[in-house]
Parts: sequence; C-alpha cells; structure tokens
Amino acid sequence: MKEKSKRVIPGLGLSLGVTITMLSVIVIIPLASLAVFTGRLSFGEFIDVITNKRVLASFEVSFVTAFIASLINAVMGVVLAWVLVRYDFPGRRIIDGMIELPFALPTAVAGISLTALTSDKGWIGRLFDRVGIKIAYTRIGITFALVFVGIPFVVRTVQPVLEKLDGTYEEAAGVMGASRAVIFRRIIFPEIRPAVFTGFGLALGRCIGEYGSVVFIAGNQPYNTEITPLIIMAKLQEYDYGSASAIALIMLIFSFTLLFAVNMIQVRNSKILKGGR
Amino acid sequence: MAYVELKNINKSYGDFKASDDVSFGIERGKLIGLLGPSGSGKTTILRMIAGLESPDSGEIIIDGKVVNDIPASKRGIGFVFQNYALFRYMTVFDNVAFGLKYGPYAQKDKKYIETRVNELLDLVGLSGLGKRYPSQLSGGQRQRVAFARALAPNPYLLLLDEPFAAIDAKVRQELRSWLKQIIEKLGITSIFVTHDQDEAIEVADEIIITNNGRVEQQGTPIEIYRDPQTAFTAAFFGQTGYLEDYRKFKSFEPIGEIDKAIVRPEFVKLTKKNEFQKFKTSAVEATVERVSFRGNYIEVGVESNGSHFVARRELEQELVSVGEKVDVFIYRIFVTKGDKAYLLQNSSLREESVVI
Repeated sequence: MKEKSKRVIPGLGLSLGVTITMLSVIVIIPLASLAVFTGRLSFGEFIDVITNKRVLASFEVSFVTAFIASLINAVMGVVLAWVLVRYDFPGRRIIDGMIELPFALPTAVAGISLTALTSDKGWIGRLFDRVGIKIAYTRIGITFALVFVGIPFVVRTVQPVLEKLDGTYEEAAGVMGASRAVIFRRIIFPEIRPAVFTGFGLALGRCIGEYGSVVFIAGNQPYNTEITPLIIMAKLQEYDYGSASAIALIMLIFSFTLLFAVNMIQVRNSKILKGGR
Repeated sequence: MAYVELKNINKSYGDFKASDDVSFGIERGKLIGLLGPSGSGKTTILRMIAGLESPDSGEIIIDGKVVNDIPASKRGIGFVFQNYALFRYMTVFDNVAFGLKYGPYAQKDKKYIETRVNELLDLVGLSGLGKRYPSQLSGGQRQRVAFARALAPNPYLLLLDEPFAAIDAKVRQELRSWLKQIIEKLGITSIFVTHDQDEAIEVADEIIITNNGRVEQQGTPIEIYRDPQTAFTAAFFGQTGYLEDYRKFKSFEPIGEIDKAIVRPEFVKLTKKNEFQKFKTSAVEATVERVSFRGNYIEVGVESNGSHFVARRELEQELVSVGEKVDVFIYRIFVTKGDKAYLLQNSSLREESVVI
C-alpha cells in the first residue's frame, strides 16, 4: 500500500499558497525588477553611476545620519521603554500612545513641522541658533528628523521584553549584593540586548530609506545634505530608470545585509536560551 | 539564644493580611521547614527575612542585630528561588561566581573565585558543567546550580523557597536527602518553605506551621505529629478523617462540647471478623467502602456510625473487600474546640495499663 503522508494541521497548501503569492507580488517581484532594470546598464555604466561623486556623498549623508540617529534611538528607546514599563505615573498611557505617532503621521507633515520648529525662527531652532548651532538644513536636522521617525521601532521591540522580564532575576542578583548599576548592566541588559539590536536594525533600515520627513529639513545641498532617496527621486524625474535602480540596488543590498546581521544575533541568542548543545 | 528571631511581624497587601503577629525563633545550625497551605504567608515570611519585603511592623533579628533597615544586598543571606532565577545569559560558572564578583563579599582575586566556584560545583556534583548555559541543564541540575550560587559567598543564613516544587517526583526524592546531607555537612542555618508535609517531615529538623498569616505551631516533626496544639495543625498534619460523633465509638470519655473529632489512619486498628482483635469489646463494626493499593500498604476507607475515615492494612494481611463488615478499634483521636486541639485516648487502653 502506498503511504500517504498526512499532516496534523490541515490547510498547508492553501495558506502557503497565499503566503507565497503575497510575498511575490508585494516583495520579491518589485525587488527582482530592480535588478532587471539595473541590468539595462552595462557593468561599467553601473560602476560609473554608483561611484559618481555626488552619489557617493549622498550615501555618506544617508548612512552616517541614519546610523547616528539609530544609535540615539537605541539609547533613548531603552530609556523610554524602561520608564513606560517600570514606573506608574499620571499620563503614562498617553505617552505610551504617543510613541506610535511617527508611524501614524504622514511623513511629509512631520517633515514640514520639524522644519518649522528647527529653523532659525522656530521654537527649538531659535534656542540653538543663539549658541551658534543650526539644525534645519544641516546634517543635524536630518538626524533630528530620523530620530523622530525611528523611535517607535526601538521602544516597541524593547517594551514587551522588559514587561515579561521576570523580577526574580533582579531579586536574585540583589540578594547576592549586586548594586542597581551592576544589575542593569549584567542582568537586565543581556535580557533586552537582542531586542535593542532588532530595534536598532529596524530603525536603521527605515532611516536609510526615509524620504518624506527628511526632504524638507535637509535643505538638499549637493555633497552636503543631499540624501540618497532624493537622488533616486531626481533620476526618476529625469526618466533615468537605469541609474535610479542602480543606486536603489546598493541600498537594497545594504538593507538586506543589515537584516541578515540582526537575524544572526537572534539565532545566537535563541541558541543560548533554548539550549542547543 | 535564637539566631534568627521574628518579633510580632505584621504585613498586609491591601486587605490581605499576609503576616499576622508572627513571632518565632530559630537556633543556629538548624534546618527549618516553614510548612503551610498556599496563601498561608510562608513565602512572605521568607522574603521578609531576606529583605525582599519589609514588614509593616515588628522586628527581624539576625544574630542579635535588628536587620529591618538593612537592604537585602547587605544582609549576607543566600536565597534559592522557587524558579531558581538562574541568569539565562550566563554560563553555570558565571552564575555561581556572581555573588563572588559583586556585592559585599566581592573577591578581587580571580584565582580564588575560580577555586571557590569549582569547589562548589564539585560539592553539588556538577563539576565539568561550568561552561554550559542554564538551558542546557535538567531541572535537578538547575536546582543544584541555584543552590551552589546561593552558597558561594558563604552566607550565614540560607533561605529556600519551595526548593523542590519544580522537579519531578523521582528526582525530588533524591534531591531532598541530598540537600539535607549537604546542609548538615556545612552546618549552615537554613529555612525552607514548603506546602508538602512529607517533605517537611523528611528534611526539616524543626517545622513551623503557618496558616492564614499566623504561626500555628513550632516543633520537631515528631512533636507536631504527636501533639498538635491547634485545631489547624491537628487537621493539616497527617492524613485526617473525621468522626461525626465520637461518643458512639466505644470507650472515649465524653468531654463536653467539641467542634470536630479527628482520626488518622494509624490510630485505627482494622480487623476482619475472623481475626484476633485485642480490644474486641471496645471495637465497633464498620463497613468497607473502598480499598486502594498504595504501593507499600493498603488503604481502606470505612464507614461506621455515619462517619467516614481511613485505616491501613499491611500487604501481608488478608485482603478485605468492598462491602465487607469489619471491626475497627480506635486508639486515640484529636478533638478540637475553637482554636485548640486535645488528644483523647481510648479509655480501654488505660484500663489495660491499670491491670498490668
């Protein structure tokens, strides 16, 4: 008799079909077309496009500002998550809800209001202008906007981990005489570290590609505050699809590498926690 | 003089009174079992001694010093948590070394830390597993690591919260006697919390029974078993059955109004009609309701004069069957009146001693 392998949970065919279709239509096909469009350029042309001085400068602007903004977010996100989880104070729920505003707000709206705030005439910009720091139309401004965009990623990945953290770990360390600082550094931080990395990676990925909120505050000076997505936009407006997709491909490769690295960290952690020998 | 002493400790969580005027003293070097049903406040007592909770009123005295205001981190107490609370991201070695690296007993000397940790891993029988992570250990091994970690800084008092609760039955048996041996060897004053009376009897030198936030009784296991002072202890300790009206059972002198009459299986002598019953005249007839095999004895549930209780028979004795009429003789009962418990001997036992 022929053995028929039956699965315990039915519906694999259907659900896997839906999954693959969704992934293909929404993610894989558009990304593949990026490679196809880039393929219209010869290899020499490709190298020319991506090593163009103005393009290289934009990579630098985008990566450096995104990296710094994500670092700030990693620290501030942990602090925010800590406050929201560990303390109870009036208005906690409101603050908790406000964390998601950067997700909900149209990025252009955020960009315009941040620009208004941080220009020399704005409420925040005026204060900094007095000590000679300009925010709007500089890289500081870009970083500022990216911090705004990226903060929910870190808070929302760290928060649930902190909430679930078993209080007896801290008690155990406390009974053995550890100070609060040691407890945070040696007990709590290792627990939230994977979440911080994930949040950092997600925020970085998002910040590198951010367009709407940055484009107003950046000022878009070539070689100085011109971000990569803006260059792509400009190439598209010139109907130079080949160059646009070549630059986009570089960003794609970077994002992919980033997500891969984040996942490697997760794999290592789950190995420690689940006891792979 | 008592080494650890609690004086009139009160502690409430909202409306719930977790400790109600708790007072007791513990001698140095003793292994104490805090025994009580869940919610009786035994863990709260343990956590207050450790400094993880502070009492609303009353004094906690360790080695002659009031420690109420000393934080947990400076009391020098070892604590084994119910879920062990092993640090998941540290190896077994680092877990055990934690108390040696930080805190009031921190050691600068790396060589010393290494020697001490390896010494403890040897002691708990886990040498060679120092590089593993807690997730790579079995439940029993984790318990041993938690124990070694608590002992590493040489605490003068060891507290264990339900140390065997999370371990399966077979390993639990082994760990119990192992733990008792090691604590005796080290001579460290220890208090452990349990809801399991067998565990308390087997492991503890002395038992403190808690109920509803109060201490019911303190004494050696045998004292508490033989001579329960309170109604709660009489009913909680041992396997209890109740007599509806003890006066219907022969030869108990009536002592006026009582609440309950408690009978334990070992107080009952159950004989078949054809067997010799020494106190035949004082025995009453009972009907067998239930016979269960319990591994090394047979438990027999009987009904007599409207009361249901349990007796035991040896495996070597002839089997009784459900519905069979048998004779039961009750040596003694505990009667309770209000909070108090009294022992009532069968008077035919006394008559016999007079004759002799």
